[in-house]
Amino acid sequence: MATISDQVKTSMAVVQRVAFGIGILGLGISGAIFGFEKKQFFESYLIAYIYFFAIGAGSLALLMIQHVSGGAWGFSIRRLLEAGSRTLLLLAVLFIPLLFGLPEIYPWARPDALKDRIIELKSGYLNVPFFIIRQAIFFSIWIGLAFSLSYFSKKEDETAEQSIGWWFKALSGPGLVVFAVTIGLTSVDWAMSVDVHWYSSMYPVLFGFGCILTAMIFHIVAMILLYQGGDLEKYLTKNYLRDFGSFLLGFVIFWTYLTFSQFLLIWCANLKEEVPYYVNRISGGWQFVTIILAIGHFALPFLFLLRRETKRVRSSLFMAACFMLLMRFVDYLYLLGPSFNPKHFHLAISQVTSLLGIGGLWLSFFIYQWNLYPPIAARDPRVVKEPVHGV
Amino acid sequence: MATEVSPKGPNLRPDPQPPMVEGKYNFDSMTEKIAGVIFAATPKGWIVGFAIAFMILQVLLVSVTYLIYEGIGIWGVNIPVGWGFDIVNFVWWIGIGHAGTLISAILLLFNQTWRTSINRFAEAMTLFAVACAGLYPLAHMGRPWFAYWLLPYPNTMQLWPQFRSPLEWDVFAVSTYFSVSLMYWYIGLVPDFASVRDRAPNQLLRMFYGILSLGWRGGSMHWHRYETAYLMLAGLSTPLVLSVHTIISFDFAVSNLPGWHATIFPPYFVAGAVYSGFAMVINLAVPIRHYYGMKDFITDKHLDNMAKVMLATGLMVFYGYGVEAFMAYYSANEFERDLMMKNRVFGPYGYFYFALIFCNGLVPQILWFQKIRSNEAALFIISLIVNIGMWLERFVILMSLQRDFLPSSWGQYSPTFWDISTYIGTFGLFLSLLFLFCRILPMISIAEMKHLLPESHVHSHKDSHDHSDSAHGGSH
Amino acid sequence: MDAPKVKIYGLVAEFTTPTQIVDAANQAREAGYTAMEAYTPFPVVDLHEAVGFKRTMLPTLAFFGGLTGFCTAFSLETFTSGGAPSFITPFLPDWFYYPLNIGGRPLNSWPAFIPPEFELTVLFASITSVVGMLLLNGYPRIYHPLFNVPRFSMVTSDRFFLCIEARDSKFDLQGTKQFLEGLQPYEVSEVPE
Repeated sequence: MATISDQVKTSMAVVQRVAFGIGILGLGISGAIFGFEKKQFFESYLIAYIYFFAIGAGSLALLMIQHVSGGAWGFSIRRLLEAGSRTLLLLAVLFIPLLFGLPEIYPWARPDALKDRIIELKSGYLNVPFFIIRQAIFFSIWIGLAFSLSYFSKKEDETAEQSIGWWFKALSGPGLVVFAVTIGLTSVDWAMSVDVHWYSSMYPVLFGFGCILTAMIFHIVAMILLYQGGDLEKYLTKNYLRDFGSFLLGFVIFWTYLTFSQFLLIWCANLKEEVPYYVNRISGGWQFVTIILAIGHFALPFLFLLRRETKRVRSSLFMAACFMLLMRFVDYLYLLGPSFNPKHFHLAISQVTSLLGIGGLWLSFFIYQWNLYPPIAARDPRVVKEPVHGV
Repeated sequence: MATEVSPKGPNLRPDPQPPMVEGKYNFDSMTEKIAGVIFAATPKGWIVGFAIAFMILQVLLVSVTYLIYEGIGIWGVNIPVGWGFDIVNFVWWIGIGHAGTLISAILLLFNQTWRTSINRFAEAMTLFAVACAGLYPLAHMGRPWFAYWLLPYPNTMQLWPQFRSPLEWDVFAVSTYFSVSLMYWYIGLVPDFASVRDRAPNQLLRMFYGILSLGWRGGSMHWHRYETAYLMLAGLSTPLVLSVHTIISFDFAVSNLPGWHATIFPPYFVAGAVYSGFAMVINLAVPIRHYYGMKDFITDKHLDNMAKVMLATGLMVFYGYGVEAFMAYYSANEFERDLMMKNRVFGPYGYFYFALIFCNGLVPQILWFQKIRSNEAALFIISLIVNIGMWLERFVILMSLQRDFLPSSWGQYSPTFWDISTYIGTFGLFLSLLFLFCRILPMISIAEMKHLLPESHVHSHKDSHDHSDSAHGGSH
Repeated sequence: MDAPKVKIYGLVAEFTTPTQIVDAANQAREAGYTAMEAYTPFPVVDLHEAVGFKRTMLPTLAFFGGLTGFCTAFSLETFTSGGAPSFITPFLPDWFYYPLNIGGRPLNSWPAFIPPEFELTVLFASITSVVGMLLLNGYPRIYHPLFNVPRFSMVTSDRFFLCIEARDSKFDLQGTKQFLEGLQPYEVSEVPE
């Protein structure tokens, strides 16, 4: 029976408490900012919120993917993914404040929105009541999936029934389909409709994949930190890490592919209803963020992870993953920042405080959830089959 | 201490995986089984099949000859539909090719050993499908002998190709794809050529296969470099295959036409390509394993896995249709909306759209059931339907050309006899090449198959060299 | 064994399992032999290390091959389209400079140049790795002394061979033969040059 080492246990307790404190403090300061900079507060809050939502939703997607595909990589981080997916409960609560700021963020939610002909044409979908209903449905679906997968996971630990494996597959296959649809609509609701005239059919794919990428990076970091010492260390061998390193490399390439394809098609077409999105992103100071992303989110990790040894050595993979975690935030900032502040680059204090606020609460909730279950699903068929390392 | 284990000895260790090789084989009998096909007498079925394929090939030759003689006026293409069957079939064929690369490269990177017995003929399928696809742009030029104008070289006017055009990107993409696939296929074959060489019944054949094998001896360092190169090619082919269909989707998406200019095209085209490709692999694997008695190597588990990939990619494609339709609405752009609701769904050829949804979206959903996935006949039929559906998809996308911005310039496309005969003819080319491949080349990778046998594992009882954590799977 | 003196390429021992060949290679290396090679029908994991070889430099070669491909496509597209900065253009030969206005796009349309750049990167890297692999391995080489051993043809089926070459400083026909026979092979044979 694999257990967490004592050292990790004590530091985890400290981190959990500190994160909770930072979370309360961050949200408190953000709340103070709300007093005089309402718009600013909601904009920052949305960006920070999407970043942590991505980890939660991405964990759920990865959890279902590993249940369906059944690789050994999934088994070693399964409990982390389950804990991550259960944080969607907290994320649903943290979403509620946004509902009070819809007109601040979304042009279509403003009282005079229907004067705009294009918004009027979209108003069958983009309207406040339907928006709220959608979010309620989506969150209940995600939370339902996350908790039922965890429920069967617990049942698998308690009983040795083989039939539980069937449930994982039966939930995950259709679950992934539902997830793809809901996350696609979510991307339109939360982010794309900020630029209300703009549209891109790649966007839902890019957003959904962004969640998976963010979650994967987070869990690589979490795995390396939490599995240290004790008998969990055996899941940090070169062969396990290599799989994650390869995933990271592949995901980074795929992210670049999606991002660049969208950019290239809009750049080539040069249509007046599409191109402003990128004009905002290559001018007014935002072009530097574009360059930072091109280098930091693609070139550097690509070249770094191309080497075989980096993927297998714990410290270098850890470094790469931490750096990528930062870059993911830059990417989310880039996703919405230029839409909120098209003329010039802007990074508000409330951005930092809301990031710390949501992040602190989220992290302490994640640790709490992770402690609820044994760190390794010992009855997973994959552990029985292949104790060392398998395909 | 050293027990003399005969090659036909007992299995030393049960394989932890579900077996991907059925029946009792050892290294020797496996080599014999696969390489033996080449030197056995030509089966009657093969002769009949090849004769039919070869006759269909003549249809292609006649069509292309007449095309070159008369010009592309014999096809149904005309403004506003300047691309017709030729691009539909080009995209269709090249898409089919992509499954070959996916099976051999991506599944190798993912350490999926089940790819081993199907990768060789999947790769062959890639090459032959790309060859069929390549014919269309060449033929569409009308003057194919000027095809070299597409290549980047300064012509007599010192003019270079137009690098901003997706059609020029196609030249780079398709030629790179063909070259890399060919190299990948060939170096995969080299050790097997050596196996065939060492079993050749006469000097002439020994020389023939000996030259093809380049003199392969199988030294440990040779294998090490070989595996490294093979893995690197797999790593390079994976983004390559993505890029090829992406660039093909750019052919459409870069144009500012309603129904074409959609940013989702790249991933959705790639998924569609893999989808139809896997359907084609199933369509080929089912008869091959029947007639050559290869059921021990291409097992039911393989078909099941392929069906699962087909289901997954099919869902992605279906998702693409959904996003396209939703975005047409969401864009609030009148041309996009009209295209989607009036032309594509209810316009001329609107029934093709429903057929497409039926073939690509609805029928494959029965693959959710294990029972269907383990039924050869059902799989074969579903795969056929998927291939038809994927053809329809390209046709439906193309027919957006009939209705562009100005109603005065609308038109209707209908294929002519020669469009159809050329399409049928390419099947002749594809099948003829495939029949030749089955006859003279080892159709399953012998060296890689040996890895699936339990005897191939090294049992390190020496503690001085502990490689136990990488006891199998040569990939790093 | 008192046949007329023919030039000897080496001695080859035949084994029947992959485990045996790995053990044999390890023992031979520990015994101090350096000029040897193990031949197998399929890649045996880490056998090359047992024989005493290092990792191949092929990945590095391929990386630079890919870099060359990228630079080729980049300069081809940028220079011929007139996209290079103005201080470079005077130095370009006429035939390498043909600026064209295509649909009002900038001369340096770098986003549109990326697809061919990617393709040539892949093409050059692939060619480098395949050609590099063949040349480093010394292929094509249709004839090799080992083919003089009749049983060696089974190397492509189910037998494993360890060959200690005559150029090894430690090689001596009798001693090495005894050593190989001590490894309990199926058979040991001489390889005539």
